[in-house]
This record gives sequence, C-alpha cells and structure tokens, in this order.
Amino acid sequence: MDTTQLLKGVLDLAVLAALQREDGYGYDILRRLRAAGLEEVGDASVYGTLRRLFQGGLLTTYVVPSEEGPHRKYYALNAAGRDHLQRSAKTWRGFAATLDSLLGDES
Amino acid sequence: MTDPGEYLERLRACFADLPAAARVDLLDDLAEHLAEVAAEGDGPLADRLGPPAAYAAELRAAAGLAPPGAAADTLIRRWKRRLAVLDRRSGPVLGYERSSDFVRQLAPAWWVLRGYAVAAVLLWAVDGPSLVPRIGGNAWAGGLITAAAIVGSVWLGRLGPARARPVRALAGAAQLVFLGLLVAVTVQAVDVFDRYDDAPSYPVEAGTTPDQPRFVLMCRDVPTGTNRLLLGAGTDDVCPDGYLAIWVVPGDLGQAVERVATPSPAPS
Repeated sequence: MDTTQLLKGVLDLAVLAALQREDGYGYDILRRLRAAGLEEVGDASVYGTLRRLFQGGLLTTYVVPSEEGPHRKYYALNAAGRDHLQRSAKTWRGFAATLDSLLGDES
Repeated sequence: MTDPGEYLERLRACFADLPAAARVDLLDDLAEHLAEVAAEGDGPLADRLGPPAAYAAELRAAAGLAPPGAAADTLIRRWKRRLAVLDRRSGPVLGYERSSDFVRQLAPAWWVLRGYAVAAVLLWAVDGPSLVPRIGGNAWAGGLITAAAIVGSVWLGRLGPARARPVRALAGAAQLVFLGLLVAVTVQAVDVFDRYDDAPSYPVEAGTTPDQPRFVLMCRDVPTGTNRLLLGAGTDDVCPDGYLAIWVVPGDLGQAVERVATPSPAPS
C-alpha cells in the first residue's frame, strides 16, 4: 500500500507527535519523522503542515540564534496543540484498533 | 541550482497569486528553512527537494492554501450552483419542476425573434430604424428578407444542442454564410437603388418594358396569383414566359408593388 496516501491523512498528528517531547526547527522535525520510519514524508509537506498548525494556533515559535549557519525558528506545542494531539491520538488509536480487528488473523 | 536564494526566488514566483501578508509570512520562514537544508547536505537543492514548482505545490497543499487559479474556478462553480438552486426553486412558481424547462419551451419563439432581429438590424443599417424592416422604404423586400432570416434562424434552432457538436459547428458556419448572403443581397439592392436614384426618372407605362436592368422583386404567374421570389437586378426577361415581373420603380421606391408593369406583348 502506498504510504504517501496514508501519510496525508495523519501528517498533522505525526508532526504534533514529533514535537511532543522536544521543540524543534523545520529540518529537525523532518529528520525526526524520517528517523521514526516515515521516510517518504516530503520536506515541503512538513514545512507546509508546520505553517498551517502555527496559523491554526496549535504551535508557538521562537528564534534561536546560531553561531554557525542561519538562525533557527523553533516550533513548540502550546496548550491547544497538546490538547489537539491528545484527541487526535485517541481517534487514531481507535481507528487503528478497528482496522487491526478487521484485518484479524489474515495479516 | 545550488543557491538557496535562487531556489527561493523560483518559489516566490509560484506564490505570486497569494495575498501579500500570507506570502511574506510563508517566505520569511522558508528562507531559513532552505538555508538549513542547503547547509546539511551536498548537491543542488533541486535534486534533493525536487523542482521549485512541485515543491511549491506540495507546500501549498500541506499549508492548506488553494492551488493557483483555484479561486476563479470555485467562484464560477459557486455561481453555477446558485443558478441551479434558483432554477429548481423558481420552477414551481411557473408550474414546472425547473424554470429552465419552461424557458426551453419558449425556444421556438426566441428563434423567430432572433431571425427578425437579425433582419431588422441588417436592414436598419441600410434603411434606418423601422419596426417593419424595409429596403429602400419597401416593406415587401424587407419582409422577404425578414422571412428568410426567420426560416434560417428556426432551422438553426431546430438543430439544437442535442445534436453532435460538429453539427453545431456546421450550423454556425451556415449561419455565417447565410448572414453573408443577406449582406450581399442587401448591398446589391442598395447598389441598384442608388444607380436608379441617380438616373433620371423615366415613366413606366403598362405594356412597356424598359430594357435597362432594374431591381426585379418577383415574378408573378397572373392566372394563379403565385409569386416566385427573385430579388435581383435584371430585365423583365429574367422571368419565365407568362410571368409578370414586379419591380421597383426608380425614383419612387416606396410604392414599387403598387405599380406592376405588364410584360411587353411584343418587345421591339
């Protein structure tokens, strides 16, 4: 099954989850997602999703000056973002469990 | 394209349609992000991120921004939807399921009106405005052209949209040819009238046939009273034997039909 199609539906959840433990800047978040196994995730998709979640009031940003290379804009979950992550995670677990039971022993 | 600045410029072009605020917000952040990507790997940015246009499209989709050109599309579609709703809602007022059902029944009336309008506009250009289209003040000639225009219009209308598109295209072409013919006939008529207007008026007497060409409207079979449309310049012998040529009398165009010349019993 093509994971890019699946990913479209859950990219918000994936990005929020990647920020759950630690704040991160764009490229950092992309690396976390890829390291976690979402290798097909696109740079532009992650960046666009970050912008949309920020516009939607689920993230806050702050700039960290860097000595070598450009300044980095970090993204962090705020209260609304954590709440959204929690509810989305619940929805996802329920959905995944349903599909698991539907697939049953055949998988 | 190794330079993030160049890649960014190409992206900027892809966001040209966005509102200024959204564009600035998007690009301000993106410069840092691209610099980051460029700093962490080797090779051109386009190799790692794909072509700028594709990158921009993916970014727009993920950021929840409309793809370029989508705004106009949705506006048109929205109006079409509104029209469809209006069509359904107003239908019962007229006693139909949809108003368009009612309007469709009016089509033949529209075809007739359209034909009349075409003739009226054409003849208006020639002869000034008149409810009854005239040529050179002659309601007969105007009426004949109007009738021809109406027949043509109804014929075109009856082809209808249900028929294949090629037929419609053909109908369109036929319409043009038809209009061209109308214009040609009109121009010819005007030309003939003009020539006679300039010429000194000569008397038309029963039993005489001036041999100069003139504008013959029709040929009439006197015993049966049937007419043959002719509408062109010529002498009386353009009509078959036994037919009466009805022409426009030079210098007195308005009353052409009143003065019927009889064919010469023995042309000298």
